[in-house]
Amino acid sequence: MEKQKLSAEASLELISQMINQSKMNLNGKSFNSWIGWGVYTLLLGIAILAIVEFTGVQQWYWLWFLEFVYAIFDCKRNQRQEPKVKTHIDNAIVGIWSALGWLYILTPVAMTFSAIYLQHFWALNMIMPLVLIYTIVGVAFTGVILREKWITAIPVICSISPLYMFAVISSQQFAQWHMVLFMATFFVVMVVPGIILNYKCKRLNK
Amino acid sequence: MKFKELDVLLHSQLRLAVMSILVSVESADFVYIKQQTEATAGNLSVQLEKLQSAGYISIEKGYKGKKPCTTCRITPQGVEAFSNYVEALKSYINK
Repeated sequence: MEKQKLSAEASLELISQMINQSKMNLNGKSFNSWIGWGVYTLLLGIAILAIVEFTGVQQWYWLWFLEFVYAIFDCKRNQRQEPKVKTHIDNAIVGIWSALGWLYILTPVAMTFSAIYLQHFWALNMIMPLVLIYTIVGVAFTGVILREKWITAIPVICSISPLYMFAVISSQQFAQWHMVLFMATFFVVMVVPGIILNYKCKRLNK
Repeated sequence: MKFKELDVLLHSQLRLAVMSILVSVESADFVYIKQQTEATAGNLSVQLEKLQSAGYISIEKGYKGKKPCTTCRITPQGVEAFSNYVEALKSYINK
């Protein structure tokens, strides 16, 4: 930046130019992790369903806990790729997902405890719709913060799926295809907004 | 009409650019500020030190993995000074 005498107009122009440049700096990498989550969950779900189908052993459903493997991998990757700049928007989004992260951990732990020690096996069926609700809330709130109406609308529309699952669980009719519904909903809620946001970030940062 | 006095420390192109970046973000590292302002590393270091000495920004030196990393943040004092500077500029434009 060259040294030159600043007029009042030039100063204000410089200020607005720098503020606009910084505001546009949306970090696309964080949305890659949405796509990663969606694809990993879908592939893991297909693998689990296939194993249960071939072996007939329901205990293989415990493999859903492999979701935590991706969570650890994703956290480590995000720590390594810390962005050069953190905006207030980034901070708000990280805050929301950190709070939801604890719910992702606590829910399966609490439900598993409830099933094993209190013999409330129906509690295990609650994990999937609850995880979907947390994900829907996270993606929708991110959309609100970024003022992206589709990022808010897609998860809100998809909330029909966990609400239906709750209704079915309460009538004690949980079937295996609800797992397919979970995988499909999770994939749509994470991957579609992830792709849209990555595309927008790339266009803004050009 | 009386003009408000401009803050001499902020009335410099590079320092003003740095403050404008930092006022709009939570934190930014040295490399990012250098890219945005297109300043040389030496000049930017000197100007950052001046802003830090005035209490307008805080500088945190750490590591990102194995690489050293300098992170800058605007302080409440810096936000106030920046806001006063913009108010003073307005008085010049609306003369």
